Amino acid sequence: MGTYTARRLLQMIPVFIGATLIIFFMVFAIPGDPIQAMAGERRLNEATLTAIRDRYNLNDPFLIQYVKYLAGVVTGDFGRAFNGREVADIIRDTFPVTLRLAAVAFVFEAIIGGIAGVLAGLRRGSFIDNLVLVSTTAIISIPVFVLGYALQLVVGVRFDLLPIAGIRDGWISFIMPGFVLGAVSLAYIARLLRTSLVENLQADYIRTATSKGLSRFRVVGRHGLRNSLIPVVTYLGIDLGTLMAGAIITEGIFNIPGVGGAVFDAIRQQETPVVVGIVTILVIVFIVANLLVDLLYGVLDPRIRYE
Amino acid sequence: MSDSGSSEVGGGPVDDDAAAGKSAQSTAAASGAEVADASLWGDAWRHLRRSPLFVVSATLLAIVIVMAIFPQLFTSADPRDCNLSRSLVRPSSDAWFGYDVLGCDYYARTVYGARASIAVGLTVAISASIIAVILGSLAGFYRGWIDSLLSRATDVVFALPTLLAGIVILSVMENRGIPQVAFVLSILGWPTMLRLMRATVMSVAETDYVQSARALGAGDLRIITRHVLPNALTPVIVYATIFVGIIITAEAALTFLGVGLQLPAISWGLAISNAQSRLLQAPHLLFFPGLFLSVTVFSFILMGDALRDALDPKLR
Repeated sequence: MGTYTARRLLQMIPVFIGATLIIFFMVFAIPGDPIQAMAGERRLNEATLTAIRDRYNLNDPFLIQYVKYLAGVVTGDFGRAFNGREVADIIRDTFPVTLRLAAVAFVFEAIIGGIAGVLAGLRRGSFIDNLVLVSTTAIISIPVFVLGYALQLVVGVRFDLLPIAGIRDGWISFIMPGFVLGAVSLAYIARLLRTSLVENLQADYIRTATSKGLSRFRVVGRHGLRNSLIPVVTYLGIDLGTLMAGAIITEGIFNIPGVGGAVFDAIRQQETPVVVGIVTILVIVFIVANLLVDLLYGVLDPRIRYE
Repeated sequence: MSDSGSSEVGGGPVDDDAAAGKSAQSTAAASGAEVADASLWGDAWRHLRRSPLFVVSATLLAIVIVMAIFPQLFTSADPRDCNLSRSLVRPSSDAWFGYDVLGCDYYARTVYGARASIAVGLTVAISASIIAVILGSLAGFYRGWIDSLLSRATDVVFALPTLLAGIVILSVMENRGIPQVAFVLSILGWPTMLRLMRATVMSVAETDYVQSARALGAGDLRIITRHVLPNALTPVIVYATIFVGIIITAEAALTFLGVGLQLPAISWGLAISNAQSRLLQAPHLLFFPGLFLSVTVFSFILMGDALRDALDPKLR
């Protein structure tokens, strides 16, 4: 396990370098003069131009620029907004809010997705099974922003059940955005759990457990469900990417001051350094989280052994 | 029953080479390929025709694709013929979908919007599939350094969540049309499919019929094109169908965020993005493009599910 962890950590380095290199290459190597663009129509004089270029390392060759950017990323310097605020500060202020939103989304995923998946998996081919399959496909098909606005209009405005936007009302104001954020993952979890439960319920150990005289509840709960949760846990790693991207849209729609909301605003105000900085951090979070999920996988399922 | 079952699963190609051992290679392989086609695709087609999922999704997809190619068939109105006096007029019997903020006929705008989504979705899915099929079969068949190289490359791109990386890359591009958005999504989209293709090719390359083809002296190119590919394509075809839906959603999301397609293009993502500030006065501006977008994505995913059921006899 120790060697495996070490090997995975080492493998992470080229992945990390490659991923940041792609972002850096696409963003900073694109033709055009960002500094002149900042000044708009006015011509900058040569001295100012050179000074600003020096500050952003734009006079260096491409690889040197990249190494300096990488050094910044490693030491926690993700760049600054145009008003001088550091991207790292923005993250620090907004992260707790996003975490709360993600927690609510996760509760929806676990409860609704879990129940739907188990009901469908237990009665394969039944009405409930088909209902779950069709409704999850429908949920996956509705883009996050369409669902968000639709719920805002119907639940928030027409029936006035939940706050429409903002976070002034505490937990209550997180319910609707949390559901919207978790909706797609909820559908995927229900489907994964169904497939995996259907498969596991045909396994020999289930027959053994049943023939030992255990109650149906115990057989499904302790033997079937536990084993079926493994693919779901793996999915949670990938899910994090969906959640982060979804948070940008959801927090934008519901005006929630989280990390995603900050990216949403930065895109609207065309603050490219902020967009790049925050997304770089999110990508790093994604890489690390996937590593953790891989390690967790081995803990959950003793059949999987890492040499 | 068990007989016909085994010939469906992959017996076609196996028999193909067993027969080739007895008779002249070329003729047996040629006729054998026909039998394989008839058994897998013919069987799949018989299954598909009876599947309600397939009939529904195929009908919807046919409508949307015709809409994307010949929008004139659905509306005689010009989507760019706008009149401010009709701004935000609600749907009525004259104009079923109402008018948008500039007074353009919203039905025409919605119908013409299909083209952007379908164009981006199909371009990305097709280019990603081509990359995945070629590189995936090389990696899965030859293994070795080419496999390590490609696997590390997929790891790198895989570490970038599509939408996040798409936002970063597109936010610095100044002119973003269908080609640019499709290009960026293709760059970010191929790894999943390549992994799928590689894994399938690896398992097919281990099978007896590939071994016997090799023993009979078939070259690598012949083995890959005649034996490996026909038996390894189905998972990629299924995934590519679903992938079109995923990409259409991604394009709409990027456009909605303001880093995808730009005005004066006509697209569902743009329409929804413009609808957001007038949600209360004009909910129809959200409803119609949202509905068309969701139904299109729904049909592609449904079609993928139907194809999987038909092409994988084990699932029946």
